Amino acid sequence: MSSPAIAAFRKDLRITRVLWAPMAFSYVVFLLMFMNNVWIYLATGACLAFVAAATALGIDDRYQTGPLLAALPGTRRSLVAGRYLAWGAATLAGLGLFLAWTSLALPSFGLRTARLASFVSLKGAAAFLIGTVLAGLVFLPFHFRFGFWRGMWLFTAAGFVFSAAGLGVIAGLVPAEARALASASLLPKPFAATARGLRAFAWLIDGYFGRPAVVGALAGGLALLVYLSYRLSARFYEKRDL
Amino acid sequence: MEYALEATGLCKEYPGFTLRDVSFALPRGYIMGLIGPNGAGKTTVVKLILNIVRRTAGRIKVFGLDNLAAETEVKSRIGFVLDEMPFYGYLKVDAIASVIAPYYKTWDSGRFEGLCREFELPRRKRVNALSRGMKMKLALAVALSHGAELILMDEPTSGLDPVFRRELLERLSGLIQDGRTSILFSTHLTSDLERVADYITCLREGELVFSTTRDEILEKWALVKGGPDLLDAATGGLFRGVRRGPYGVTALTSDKEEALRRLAGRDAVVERLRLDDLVFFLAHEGSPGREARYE
Repeated sequence: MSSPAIAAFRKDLRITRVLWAPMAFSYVVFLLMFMNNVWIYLATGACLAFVAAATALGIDDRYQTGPLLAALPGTRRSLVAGRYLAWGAATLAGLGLFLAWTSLALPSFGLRTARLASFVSLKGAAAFLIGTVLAGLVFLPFHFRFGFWRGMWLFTAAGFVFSAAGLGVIAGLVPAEARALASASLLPKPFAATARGLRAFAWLIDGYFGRPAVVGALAGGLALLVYLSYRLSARFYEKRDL
Repeated sequence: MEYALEATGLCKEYPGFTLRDVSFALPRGYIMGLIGPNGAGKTTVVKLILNIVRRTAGRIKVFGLDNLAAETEVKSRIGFVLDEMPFYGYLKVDAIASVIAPYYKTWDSGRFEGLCREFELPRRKRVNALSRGMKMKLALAVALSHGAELILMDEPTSGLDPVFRRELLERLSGLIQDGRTSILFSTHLTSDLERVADYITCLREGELVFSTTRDEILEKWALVKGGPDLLDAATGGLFRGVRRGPYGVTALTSDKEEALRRLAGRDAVVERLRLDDLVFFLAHEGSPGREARYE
């Protein structure tokens, strides 16, 4: 890793430092609100980690620091590498906070949170990371190609489409009982398909994400995606006028 | 001669603006002023050197190194002040230094602190609370804190009070005395350049008008003032810009000797040129419809 990339990474840490405490506080408050449903609890934790990781990008967009950062020693590639490092650090910090808070909450909230215990595990960590890391790996190329807000909108639009498609595929991979909906008739058809996909995904997490071989395969897949996403981001950013 | 900066055939295309085939060279140890009217391409040139925007064609060498092939090394040796220096407004002056310092191996914290004292920059104040002039001073302090050998400045004196402007110009003159530091300085305030610049590069509408020494410009270019009959067959092709007024004509020539020869015995005065006159007239050079006018 080049020293300009490390400098860019340190810069991201420095500019977000003032927000760490309020972000951590908001994080646990939101988790507290969704403790009754373990899947929403997990999804909230993962989404908040994504938001925390995107904060540095938002600050840079707010102050339009692109030209300044591009003029400092280093290449566009090193700026992108610094961003990926910072994103990874924020995601891991989010995971740490998630696991720590979940462990702390268990004794305090007793039976209400009994199912949360299963998340303080390899399974919980894998499920958390697959969501946040995947989202980050898809978002960052959009960001480097289109800028923060436009990238965020396009990422969101593409995210809806590809998530629905992906969940549809996942629903097809699991046994019928694993994706059955109790109230399927109440949902319009497209939403019912997505809900079945979500149930199937939850079933997969419950059944497979605790297995070291599966986690190893997921880690390998994510590593490949990190490489591809980074290459794409670097290519986009090298061609951009700031 | 050793050059700090060489631009060759520089082109950049934007929608609605094109920088065309701009070439110039800044010898090491000198100050070059980049002048031209708004939209001439001065900021684009500075951004191209720093690779903030990608060039469409051409080549830039800094200390003999290609600015893209050896990007990190080249930028490590450059200090810069951008037109709008986008610092993080909620950070304090000290924190800005701590954000930028890790990028430079040669960052000198003591020097930064010294410059803050000299510029009367309050290090505990947030950037948002600084005036435009103070922000410019902060940008200067940052640019001068890592021993840069080439300093690029895009409108550095705008927003500064006349006293500090004068002090800054003196400091810039002092910087190049070591024979190793060079400065490229884009500005609208051409009077600043008359004080300090050794070379002047003039751009207009994305094209290079000239790039030469200040002395040569002041020697060869001149203003000619005369009556309404100044523009006749004898002076055809002599002037590069004309300003007509109710009492006569003022014109710009790039050949003072020729003007003196052709106007000998006529009721006309050949005056020493100021750089702001030059920019003014060149902005209106060309068709008669674009002549500068005053009423």
